[in-house]
Amino acid sequence: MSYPKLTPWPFIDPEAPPDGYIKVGESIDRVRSRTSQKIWHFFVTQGYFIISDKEWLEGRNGKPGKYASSQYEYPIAGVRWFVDTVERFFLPPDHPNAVPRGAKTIEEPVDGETLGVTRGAWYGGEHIPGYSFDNLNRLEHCTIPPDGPYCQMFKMGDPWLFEDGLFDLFKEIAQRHENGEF
Amino acid sequence: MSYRLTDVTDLPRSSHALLTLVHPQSAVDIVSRILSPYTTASEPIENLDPRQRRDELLEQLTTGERVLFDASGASPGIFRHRRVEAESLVGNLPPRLARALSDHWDGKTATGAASVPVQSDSLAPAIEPAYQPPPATSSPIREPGSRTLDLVYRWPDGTGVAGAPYVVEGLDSYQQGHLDGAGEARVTGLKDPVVNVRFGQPAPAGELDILRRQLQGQLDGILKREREDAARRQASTDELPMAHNVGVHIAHGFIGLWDSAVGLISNNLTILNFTHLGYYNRALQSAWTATRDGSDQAWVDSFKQQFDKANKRALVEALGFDPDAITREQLAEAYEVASLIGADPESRAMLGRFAVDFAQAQDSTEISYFAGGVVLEVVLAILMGASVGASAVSAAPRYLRKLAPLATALRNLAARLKISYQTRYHYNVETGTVCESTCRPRPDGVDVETRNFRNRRLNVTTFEGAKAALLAARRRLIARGGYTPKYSQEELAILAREGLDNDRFIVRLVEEHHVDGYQQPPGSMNGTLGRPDGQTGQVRFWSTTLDQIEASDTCPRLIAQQLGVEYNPKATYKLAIVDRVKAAEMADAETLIPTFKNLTDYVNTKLPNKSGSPEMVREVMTPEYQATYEKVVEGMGDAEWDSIKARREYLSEQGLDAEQIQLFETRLNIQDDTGANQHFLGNGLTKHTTLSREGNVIHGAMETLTVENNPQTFRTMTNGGQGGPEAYVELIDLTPIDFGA
Repeated sequence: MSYPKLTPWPFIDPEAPPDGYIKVGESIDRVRSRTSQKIWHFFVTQGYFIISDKEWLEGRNGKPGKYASSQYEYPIAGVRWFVDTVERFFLPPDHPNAVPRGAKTIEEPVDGETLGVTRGAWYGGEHIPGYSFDNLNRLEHCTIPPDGPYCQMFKMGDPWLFEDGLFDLFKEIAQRHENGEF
Repeated sequence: MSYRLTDVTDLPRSSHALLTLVHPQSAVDIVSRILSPYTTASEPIENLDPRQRRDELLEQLTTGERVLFDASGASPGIFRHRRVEAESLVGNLPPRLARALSDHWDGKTATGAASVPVQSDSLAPAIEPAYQPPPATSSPIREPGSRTLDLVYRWPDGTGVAGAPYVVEGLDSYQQGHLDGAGEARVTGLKDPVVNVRFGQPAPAGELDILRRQLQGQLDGILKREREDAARRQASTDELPMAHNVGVHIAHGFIGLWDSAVGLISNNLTILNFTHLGYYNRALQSAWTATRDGSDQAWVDSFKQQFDKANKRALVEALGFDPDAITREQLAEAYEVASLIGADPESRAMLGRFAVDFAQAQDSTEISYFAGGVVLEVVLAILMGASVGASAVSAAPRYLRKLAPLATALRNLAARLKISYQTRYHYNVETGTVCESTCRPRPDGVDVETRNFRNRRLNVTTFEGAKAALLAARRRLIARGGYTPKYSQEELAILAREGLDNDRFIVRLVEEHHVDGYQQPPGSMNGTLGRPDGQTGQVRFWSTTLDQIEASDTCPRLIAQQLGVEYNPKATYKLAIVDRVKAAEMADAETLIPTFKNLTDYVNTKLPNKSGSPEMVREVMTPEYQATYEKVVEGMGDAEWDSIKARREYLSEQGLDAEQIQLFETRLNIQDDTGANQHFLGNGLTKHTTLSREGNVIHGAMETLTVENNPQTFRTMTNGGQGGPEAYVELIDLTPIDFGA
């Protein structure tokens, strides 16, 4: 099934976010920080949850270096949905709420957009399995074209998620949203 | 016309009676015909004992133990010139008869008893010694006759049989010679109005049987030695843990082909380029059929035309031999010999039985296959064995030299079989005429068949059967002195395309400490079949089937090489045999052969629109795109792997346009989803680590990818190591075999 794609969200500078963007956390993907530290910033604005990074790309072949950003956007309610859905993967197969046998991805509508959680063999890097947080109504994009022909999938390895505190950060953001902080 | 049988010890004393002694080979023909249940014999054998077995009597006639007399004198005899003298004897008599005749002329009885005067056959008592002709002091001067006979002998296609030998024989005439280049001759000086004519080499009737027996004797001798060797080897490997010694292969339809059991594919050369035998079979058949009605030389010429050196090389390789060890002429000869043998049911059966017996002698595995389809391979092996033996090539497969002694007997038999096609007899031909004859066409060309590899598949349904098969494989491995691939490269590819429906068991090579699990106490068996993924405990592992691993038996080094994984000589390994059917139920496991097609289906079904559109997934999961992908990935560094932004800069620099970048990212997503990286071959096969060379991948085994959503510990999987119906995994201890350098 294909999903209609929404107008791309404008890129922001995560180090100097526009007004109205509340920074709710940041986390380092250590596995993918072999050449430069990959810090991911998490924002909430206008009922949306924005994941963004900013990276300095060294110049190549005499061309000057430049900054580049990747960005992922979800309805804010999606954070709780992501946490709950990942936990479904941990339930025993015969649990009524468990991920169906053989399924590798779960997709559900959340506040008008179809979100997904997918299990992948190398989502955390080479030989590192992990999960992705998907938005099937939005195209993968970064400031270096072209945009992906596929949906947004923010891929996180298990070590990052479960050992480096990223999953806890998602829980915290979900809780803060439910507490009415934003 | 009537016949009479006599023991060779009771030869008649009269010369005239000896003239009616039928040549043993003709006697075999005559008696066969008379005793055939399918003919109505008009000529009785006067003193035939009806209780005597037909085959026994034919055997006695063949060996000269008994002889047949034709009172009419019309049957071919044993003297060339109708004169009872040693010089006139034909040269191809059984030794026993020749000895008896020699004794006869030496004045002794055939039994070597005291000599007695030669007597007539008269029943009247001899008053005085019968007349004896004076000994010949010189050959009598014979006046030539005035009659002529024109001979014409043609191949079936009408061309003359150049240089063929001929014999024209009458009561008072005997002429022999060779036809001219046109297959013709004019024979003059004949006295008889009626003669017998033979075109071609003499074709004594019983000779075939004798030659078959000679070959059989040699085959038996080799088998006897092989069995003795096998017994010695067996004794030296008895300390191995042979829990089962059952005929598991025969019980489950395993067919131990000549090649799989003996190891025609025993050197690396042969598995580098297993080409399409079907093509070469058609080419061989075409060359053979085109000259089937022509001369021998036409066949060799046609063969050489069809098979240049490159083709010959490919064919010999495809048959599993070293192409440098055989010339085109030898191959042409082998094909001709094989075709002659193949057309003779008795000889074909003999070689087929030998192939199986020889294979069986290598170990105790029972084999039920009748190797009728591998005549050319067996013949080629024997002829090559002789060739290799002569040149003492040390790298030649071990078994080839063992077969070398068979070459002469095989060639003799083939030559005699050929004579039966190329020799013609004509009886009672009137002189003054033209005797025209055409030899028979050669037999059908033997088929170069692809080995029926499906019959080599191991089809076991119990752990007991699986263990027994591995133990039998170890014996075979030791007996052969090394690893022999069970399947050719082409066969592996076919098996990978066919899927896993016939494979109940998959296997996983595990280091012993992984059975207990990370940081778990020894004996806890808390490990899983693969590394658990993060917190879900999902297990994903790449492996192969039991059928594929069988050839490596229980040697961890060989298994690792075959699977294309690192082997740690310091580690202790176990082989986990997984019952795929039970694992699907207990561990929510799914196993597939990771081919391009299967992974495409997997991604498009399980992860629709995640990696890319279904069309793009199909486009990148092809051998063509895989080559592009591998090349582009080669230039990527850590920065490009870690960041999509750095990667896109790199891809643009490589000259990829937007669409090409999207394709690349789609392929990279599939790698993230499934682990199918740039080295993924897409044919469902592993890369053999020892045999592969740069630019030349040798596949080791069919590969499987298993994902367990609900993995269990080894303790659960093996029922605490107790087995039984609760268990769906069996752990086998692996012991390396050291074959030396």
